[in-house]
Amino acid sequence: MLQLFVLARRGPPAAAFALAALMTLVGCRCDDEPVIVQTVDLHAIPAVRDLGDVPLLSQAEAAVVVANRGNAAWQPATPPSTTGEGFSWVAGCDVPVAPNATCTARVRFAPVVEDAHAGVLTFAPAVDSEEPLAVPLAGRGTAPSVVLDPPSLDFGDVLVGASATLVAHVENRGEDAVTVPLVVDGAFLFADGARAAELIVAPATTVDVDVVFAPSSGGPATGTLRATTCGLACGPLVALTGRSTAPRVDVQPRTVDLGVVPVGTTATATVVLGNSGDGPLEIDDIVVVGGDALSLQAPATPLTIDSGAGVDVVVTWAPTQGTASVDAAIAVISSDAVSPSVFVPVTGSAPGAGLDVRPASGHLGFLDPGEERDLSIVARASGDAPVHVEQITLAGGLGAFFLVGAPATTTLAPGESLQFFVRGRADPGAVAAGGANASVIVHTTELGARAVDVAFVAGTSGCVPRPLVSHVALGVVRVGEQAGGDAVIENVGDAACTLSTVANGDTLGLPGDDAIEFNVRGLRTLPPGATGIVHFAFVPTDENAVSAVVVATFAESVEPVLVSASGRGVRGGLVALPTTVALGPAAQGCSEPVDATLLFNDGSAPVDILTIDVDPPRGPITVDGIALPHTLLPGQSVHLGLRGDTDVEAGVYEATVTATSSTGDVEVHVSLTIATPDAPVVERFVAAAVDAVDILFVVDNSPSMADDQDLLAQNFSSFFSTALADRDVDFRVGVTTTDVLSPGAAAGQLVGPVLDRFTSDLEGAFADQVRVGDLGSGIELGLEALRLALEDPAQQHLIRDDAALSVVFVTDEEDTGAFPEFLPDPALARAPSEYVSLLEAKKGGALTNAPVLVSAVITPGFAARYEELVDHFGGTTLDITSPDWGTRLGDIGVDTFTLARAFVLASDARADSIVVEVDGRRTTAFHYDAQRHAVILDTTPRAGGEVVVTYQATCS
Amino acid sequence: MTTSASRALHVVGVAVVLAATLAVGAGCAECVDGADCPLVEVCTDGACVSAPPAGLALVAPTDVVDGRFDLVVDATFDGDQATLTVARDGADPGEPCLPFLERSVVVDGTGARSQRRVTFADLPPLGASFSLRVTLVSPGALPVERSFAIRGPAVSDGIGGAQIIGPGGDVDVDVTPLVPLLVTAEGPAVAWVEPDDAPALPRFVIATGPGDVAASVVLVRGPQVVWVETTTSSGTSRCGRAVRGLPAGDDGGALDLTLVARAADPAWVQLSLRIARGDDVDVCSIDDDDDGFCRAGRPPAGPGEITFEQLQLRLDDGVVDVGVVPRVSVGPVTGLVRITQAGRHRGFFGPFTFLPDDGESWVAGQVVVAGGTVAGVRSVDGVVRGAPW
Repeated sequence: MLQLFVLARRGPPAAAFALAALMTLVGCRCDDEPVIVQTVDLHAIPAVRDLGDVPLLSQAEAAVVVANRGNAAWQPATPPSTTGEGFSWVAGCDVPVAPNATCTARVRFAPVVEDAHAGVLTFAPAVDSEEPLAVPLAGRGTAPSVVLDPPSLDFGDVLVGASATLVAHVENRGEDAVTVPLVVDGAFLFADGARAAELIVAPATTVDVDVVFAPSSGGPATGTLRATTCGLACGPLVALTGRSTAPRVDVQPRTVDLGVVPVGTTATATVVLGNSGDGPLEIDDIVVVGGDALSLQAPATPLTIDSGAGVDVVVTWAPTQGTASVDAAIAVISSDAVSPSVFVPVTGSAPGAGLDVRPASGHLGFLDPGEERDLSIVARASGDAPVHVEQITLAGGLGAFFLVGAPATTTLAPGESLQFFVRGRADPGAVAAGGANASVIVHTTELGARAVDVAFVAGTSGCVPRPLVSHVALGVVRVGEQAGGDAVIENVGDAACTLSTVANGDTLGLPGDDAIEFNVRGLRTLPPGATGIVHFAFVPTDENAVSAVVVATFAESVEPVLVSASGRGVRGGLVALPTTVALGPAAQGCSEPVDATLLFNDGSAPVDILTIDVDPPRGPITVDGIALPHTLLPGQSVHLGLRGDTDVEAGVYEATVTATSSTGDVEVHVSLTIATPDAPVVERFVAAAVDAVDILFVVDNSPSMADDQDLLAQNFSSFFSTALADRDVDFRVGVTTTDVLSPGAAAGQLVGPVLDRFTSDLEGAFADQVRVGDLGSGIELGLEALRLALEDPAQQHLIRDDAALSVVFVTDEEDTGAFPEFLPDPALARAPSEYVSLLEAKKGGALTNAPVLVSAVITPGFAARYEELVDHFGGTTLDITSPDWGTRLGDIGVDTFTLARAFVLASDARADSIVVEVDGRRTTAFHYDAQRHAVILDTTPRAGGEVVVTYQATCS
Repeated sequence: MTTSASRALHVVGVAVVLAATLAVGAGCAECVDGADCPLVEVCTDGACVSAPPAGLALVAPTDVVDGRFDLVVDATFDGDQATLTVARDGADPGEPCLPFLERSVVVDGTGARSQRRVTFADLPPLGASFSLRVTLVSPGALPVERSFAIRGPAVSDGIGGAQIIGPGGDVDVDVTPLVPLLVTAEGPAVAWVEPDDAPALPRFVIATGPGDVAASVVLVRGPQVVWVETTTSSGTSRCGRAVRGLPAGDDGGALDLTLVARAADPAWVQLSLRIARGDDVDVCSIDDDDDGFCRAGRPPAGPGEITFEQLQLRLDDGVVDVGVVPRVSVGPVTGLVRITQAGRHRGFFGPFTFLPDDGESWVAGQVVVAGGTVAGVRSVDGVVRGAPW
């Protein structure tokens, strides 16, 4: 294609313009083709650009639009340009512009004097011979409004890792307050570590700004502090300069080979520790790691090495036996930011046989009479020649030590090692001597004998506190449930122990978890033979395994006593409720203590219980058999009876009951305490923080109950009189119904809000709630309603972990669980003992005394399931067929509102034998409720107070 | 409305047209390299064709070997590289008490047909008659296995004395670091584990007389031999079993520390690491592993007569102090800490007995990391009351 330009010019316009005409010839036969004149017709808008007043040190930008009104593209040969001081082209209109299109050029004005400025913005013509398009520019420099001072800041030399701060001043010379945006760059920061800031500067004032130089690497540094009043790279500035100096640790040589060093000789090597940087080097530490036999001669640390200087570090090795290889390093810890730790490997060897026996000495701790413990000993051939072990013997020990797994003889090749054990046994002689010690001697052909001293402590002289039960395994506990157990500390010495401190293991830095809490009982003073308790309570919040250690120290004993607990939370699958069961204390030869745990399917699929084992299998703790395998549908449970044989020696026995299942194993840890028949039984309790009781009314809402509900409502004062008279009682009341099946049934949920002492019109609110109506299901399941109410107590805000619990059933029918044939789900026909276990599991693990009371207003003789619970928990039964049962509600009320003061004993007590101490002081202000076998104090003990009940157990 | 299905059909249609155009216009090029072809085919002149079978041929030994020997094979294969593995042939294993650790080598190819001579050096003879199985795996070809029968020296008197029933083969030692050792011994016996490239773990007595024995051994990662040494009236003899500890991966170069603790009663102890990097000192445990440089291998399991715990550390230069602290008051506990880096066993601390019920922690030792690798492992074997740091 050939292009031929035909130029034409119109008359001069106000703005300069160019007209270009192009004639295009298509093909070769141009004389046959029409001639098309092509033109470029440029116009500037505006024709003159005035950028107005701009303060000195600032700048302004403006746009000039160029329109091409021709029919050919404008292709500028050069970018736009400016003339005139203070003006500059920024961008735009430097690429072709199509016909009837526009482009925008930006021009900047940065005044240099406080006066008028003039200039021209010029656009190149379409062809060189044509005149360019010129746009006159104007502007005026005015006095600066924001001024930074000084114009530059020099921070001088600053160490890498250190910092220096200088002040710049921001002045507002204007008449209005301004917000000044400030930025710094390079290795410079503001005082808060940021690189951008905003200052509000009042008119005619100056504000100081701290600028920090914090170099992270060595060398010169430059940057700016700028008030970006007119754009990111625009505005008054302060030039920032500094020089960062960086120390550099330099170690020569980088490795040390001590070579082959014969035994009996000495090898040394010198390492020069220098500073090749340009700032002082701080040396924090110089040590040998990984080489016991190496010694180091080095200047004391911390020390400073100036730039270019150095110090000598001498490493010395004098091998005393063959060593196949020294594998050590000299470690230098310094202020070198790049290499804060430098390691210089040190190698070497000593020909010949070597033997390293560990530990250097061993201690088996305190052994109770008859107890045995093993200590591992390892002998390693550390040289480059074999070591022939001729024999391993014991010296001393008076027969209290034995070697286990020690070969008669053996040869250890270089690098090989031998492990065996030394066993200590606290035989009578060792106990009488307060312990024993001996030496384990490894006899070798090449190196003679190497000895390891071993020892243990035993005995009963003085105060000797020992953990009788050192660890409480709280088992796998359903998340949200509670488990508790006691570690037992006994004074096996012949002098009393006085408790000094008892603290969480984190005081020793030992790991522990908040999900396990503890308190102590009976530890304040321990006469010889006496025991005290550390009670642990565990409420898992997740499925992790957790633990806690408690450290008890006694004034008369150097050694602290450690006890601990562990457990794990679980959701779903087979769970045990509770996971810890304490049988007794029971008197020797009396009737066996009995308790139970529930194996409960908490999942959504059937669980097969495959085996149930007791460990130890032939101990005094046994399990009632159930047919195996036993399938539990979701929500079903099976009651597992636990028994303790009393025809055994007095003492504390422990066993673990393990149930294996298709979803995993569960363990129940059972303890049995047997006392001699004549010995008093001692039980210890910790009073709750408040005199708190939670009360759950389970009211029958089936037809025929309206009158009884009225009676209950009308006798509010009968039930609550004790509570209203004693303002210390902190009670909560909730009401549910016996209906768990009908559409819209309460199913264990409370029918109204929780009531307490501060409820407005408590009597009226109580009356409203207990009138639950008579449209509920005729299949009354009061026990199941109780279970469901306990299932998610947090949601209902009724049941508190450490409060006593009183349950009152009001119903005129037997619990329909007695008639499985009427139930839609066989899981609803649980044995009453299962509900007993659930209630005990709910409160049994509490840190403080939290007894349970179950009472019932029923038809005596026709409500055996309710009666079984009432009998178990020692509550009161009222006859609902009696017209005056309402007035007798006070009996249940008294038991309920004194419940937090009731301390339920593990065994029946001979009433005249009971001695009660509160916080170490004997009191007679109590009475004994034989039905509940509970001691009830007349007054509430202080929160956390220790209540000790000593009694003679009856053999009933 | 255009559905995604119709769009997909449209795209496929375009692809078919393009492919057809390429096939016709570009000389029907089916492939550029072997990656474009199905398995067991290679790309030859732009077409996928069946790969010629890779080949293995025995070069040496050709005669009876009288001691440790080199196995030399010629490997013929296509592709850029091939992996050759030599292992004991189960059909003709030789003397079972002579262990053989599987070995692998990777050889480069040319991309086309290549032949390489490969030497497996310094192999142990496995008896008077045995076979070794060599496997050749190369890209695009089916693996080739050849079994080479080798005649060696008669088994010496010092071999035997026991029959090892287990363990054997591959064991995931991160899941079960402590495995049952089942042995029929002809007399009093000791056992130990010898990693392929690190000092052996301590020997320990497993039998005081002849009979079946069930003990347990701590295995490490990587290749190793479980040895049983038996003493009878005719002398001392050894029986070994090769085991490979998995996982075989290099953990990204991380430092892996695994604690195996044993106690007579269910106990619970916990690894505690102090990592000093210059002035920065961090402590890591299974409860405190969220600082980015330390990761717990598995959730805590709670007390047991045998407990495991695993921590992995990012391999920063510095000193790692290794300790074990009590979580419950049960003792004594005997612990062993296995040290692995980049999948290689680097050593161990212990076995060491300490007393958690006295509040004792075991200060096991130090690991020095320099230049991104384990520069040293030093046993300390001390105790302190309470946490060591």
